[in-house]
This record gives sequence, C-alpha cells and structure tokens, in this order.
Amino acid sequence: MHVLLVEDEPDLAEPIARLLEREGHQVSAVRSVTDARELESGSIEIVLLDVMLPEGEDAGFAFARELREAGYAGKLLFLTARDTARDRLRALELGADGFLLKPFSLRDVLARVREFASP
Amino acid sequence: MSFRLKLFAAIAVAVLITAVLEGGLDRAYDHWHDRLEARTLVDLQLFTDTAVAALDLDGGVVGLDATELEALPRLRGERLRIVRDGATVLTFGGLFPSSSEGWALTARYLRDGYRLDVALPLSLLERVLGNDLLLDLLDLPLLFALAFGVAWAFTRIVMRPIRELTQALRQVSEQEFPKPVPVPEGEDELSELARSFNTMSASMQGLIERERAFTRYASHELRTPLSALKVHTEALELGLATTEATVPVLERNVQRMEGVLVALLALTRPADVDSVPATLDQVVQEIVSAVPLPGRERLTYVHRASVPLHVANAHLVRQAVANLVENALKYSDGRVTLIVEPASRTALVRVCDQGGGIPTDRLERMRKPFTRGDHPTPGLGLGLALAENAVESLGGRIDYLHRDDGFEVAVTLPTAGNHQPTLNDASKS
Repeated sequence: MHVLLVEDEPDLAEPIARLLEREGHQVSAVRSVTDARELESGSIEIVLLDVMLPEGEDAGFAFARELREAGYAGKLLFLTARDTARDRLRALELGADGFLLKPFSLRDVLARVREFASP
Repeated sequence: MSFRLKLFAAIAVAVLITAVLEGGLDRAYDHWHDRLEARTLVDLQLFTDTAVAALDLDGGVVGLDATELEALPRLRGERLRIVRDGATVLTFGGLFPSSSEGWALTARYLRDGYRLDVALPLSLLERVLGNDLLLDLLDLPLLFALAFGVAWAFTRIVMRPIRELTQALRQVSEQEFPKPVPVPEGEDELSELARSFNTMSASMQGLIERERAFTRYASHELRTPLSALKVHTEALELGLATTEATVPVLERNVQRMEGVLVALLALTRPADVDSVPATLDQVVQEIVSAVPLPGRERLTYVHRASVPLHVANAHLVRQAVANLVENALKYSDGRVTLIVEPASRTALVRVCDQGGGIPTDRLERMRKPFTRGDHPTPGLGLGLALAENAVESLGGRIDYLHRDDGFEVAVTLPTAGNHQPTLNDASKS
C-alpha cells in the first residue's frame, strides 16, 4: 500500500519509514505540509500525520481537512505529542482512524498499519 | 469609616437604643401610673361625696339612699361602712375589706362620732402599676431581647465582608479560585484586607496555572525525544538499524531532553542574581568562543565601546546573550553579527541576522511561555524565555526589530552601578 508519512522529526520518521518499507509498503516520507502537497496523492491509501509541523502548531489538522475536502477517503492516523481531549476531538471530527500519542512504539505503528491494510 | 469605628458605632447604637427604650418605658409607666392613680382618686372622691350626700344621720338612726350611689356612672364594686365607737352600723356593696391589699381606702369623719369608710377595688393594671419590682422584672427581659436583636442585626451588617472573605478563603484552600471579593468602600482595615486577599488569590491562581502550564509544556517537550529513543531502540531490536547508526541518535535525543529539562528548571527558579561583575566584552568573547563550528564561522563580533562596559552579573548576561545568538544561528541562514555598543547610561548588545525573524504572534508566546492562560506553544524552544527572564532580572529589556536586511534582537543592559532592582531581586532578599 502507498503510505504518506508527514513528520518533521527525522529521528522518528526514518525508522517508521524503514519499518513500513520492510513490511512491503511504498512509503513517501516528507517533513512538511508544503512537501506533502507536492506529492502525487492519487494512490495514497494511508496517511500518518504529525500535528505540529513547520507550517504551524495545527498544520497537521489543517492538512487533514484539506485532504478530506479534496476527496481523500483513505485511512488517517495522527502521530502527536498533544494529548488534550480537545485535540482528540478535533482528530475525530476530521475523520481520523486513529490517534497515536508520543512516545509511541514502532509496534504500535505497525499494528495500526496492518489493521488498515487488512481487507 | 474604619472597621474599628464601625464596630464601636454599632455597639454604641445598640446601647443607645436600649437606653432610649428603657427611658421611654419608664416614662410610659410613670404616665400610666399617674393617670390611673388620679382616676382612682377621682372615683374614690366621687363615691365618698355621693355617699355623704345620701346619708341621713338625723334622729339617731343611720339611713342611706342607695339609689343615688347606684346611679353613679362608673361603679366598679365599691364598698362602704359607717362606724361609730368601733362598731359598724351600716354597710353597702358587701363585706368591707379587712386590709388594703387590692383596695384603695379612704375615711371621712362625720358628725355625732360617725365615720364613713369607703373601699374601691383596684384593677389588675392598677395593682401591677403599683408594684415597681414586678414591673422591672417584666421589662428587663424585654429590653434584653431588644438589645440582643439590635446588636445581632448590626453585627451581621458589619461582619458581612468578613463572612465573604471566610467563604472565599475556604474556596482558595480547595484550589477553587473565587471571583474577587467585593472591597468595602473607604480605606479601613477591612477594605485593605479584601484588597490584599484579592491580590493574593490572583497571584496564587497565576502560580498554579503557571505550574499546570509548565507541566503540560514539559510533558510535551519531552515526548518527542522520548519517542525517538523508544523508536530507535525498537528499530535496533527489530534489526532495522545498526548500533553504529543508532547510538548518535540516542545521544542526540538524550541531550535534547537534558536541554529541555535544564531550561525548564531555570525558568521556574528565581533568576540567579548572585553578582559576578565582568566587562561586557569579556562575557561576549566567551560566548563567541563557545559557539560550536560551523556556526561560529557565520558569527561576527563587533565591539564599539571606547571604554570597558561593566555588567553586574556575568552569568545572567551570558545566559541571555548566548540564547539569542544560538537562536539567530539556528533560525537564519547567512551571517549573524553581534554588536556591543554604549548607550545612554546603558550598554546595548545587538544580535543581527539575515533571516525573516519571528512572527509577532509567536514572539509573545515565546517570550512568556507560562504566563498565558491558554496552552503554551511547545516546540518553539525556551531560549527566548530564558533570555527574557535573565534580562528582566538585570533590570534591562529586549527589543525585537524587523529590518529590511534581516532581524535584530537588541538587549539593553544597565551598566554596573545602574542596576534597577526588580521583583526577582526582591524575592531573593
């Protein structure tokens, strides 16, 4: 499956990308919303999205809305250090399929992606 | 009016009211007593005169025309007797009372040795009014009750602000911060107490909110490096990475966590104002030489003072300027120029870069990360807040200037001898 990973921390993005690639997924890892917009998003089926990105504190939420409005109907998983009820609610409103709170483990990410990928 | 004066006035009014009531009751008693006594005397006199007129003592036989007595308008059971030589020769109205208890008595001496005794029954009111002791016993509890009521009412009015304060204090002790208590008018002990309470409550609320914001911020700032540690350790376990590649990542993130922790602790502690004086040039030279390569190659230091500029606390100046230099190198490309120059009774340290600077909305939150009620802005770093804290402790200020060729942060520092005391100083003393 084609996975889009938007995470500005290379120390986090790199092992996640490597893990998913070993699982057989095609991973497009970018560090900002600007970079994500430049990608051809037609084939993307899973989006792993940080909330605080270089474009702003809520850039992840804004990008999720943008994706949904553009017709993206695939899976959406937020990876974030923000743990307030308001943040979780906002993620749900944007049709998120999951919310992984940092510090998460690689196994957590893997489990969620496997779940998304299963028919 | 002061609280003491209000209390005094309340007690004085209660006593005054009691005294006035007591005086009033006494006057009313005297008045009624006099009126009843006068009426009794008039009735007695009238009955006696009528009886004398109705008597017939001629011819050695005593006669009485009772119709005249019975025609009297206000008869109330009067009795009479005619006595001669100790013997009763005639009675009217019933047995003549043997004592004066409950009766008003009078005697009239007539011709031929006859004596007319008249007895008039006293009403209950007349009897009561005739007994001063009984009256005092009756009016005393009444006056006590009145005095108590007046004192109670006044105390409630005077004590209302204290009740409000007590309630507010209870809320504070349960960490539920009340609205400011109403400050009584005037400049007395109570209004001063209410004002002090409101200040204390607001300051405690600020402290607790700051503490909560700090906890939220700390937890957020530590989550990302912790996540990196966790993920890389797992990657090693899963054979996704080599030890050689993982160790530098772990070191970097441990350092990052340490940096966050040190900065957070420095911000929550009162600024260290232990004076270690130095020249500004000395401090800045140290900062420049401590900047690691390759950043140092982008840094230019310009010293424009003709005389040494002395600062009172080298440590705080270093903390402030080093953070500003680090920010400039981190968030801009191109050259960073560090200029030291004298200003009017102060010294100026200017950190100029060629970047776009910090947007105004972010700047405010970066300067004071824990002073706002809303969420702090994690991920922006604490360098600016640390610099602000240090410069404020020194009695200086930081200005932020967007220029055509870049961004400038100007630190104005009092030179030694011009140090303005601040709250942080006060808290240390």
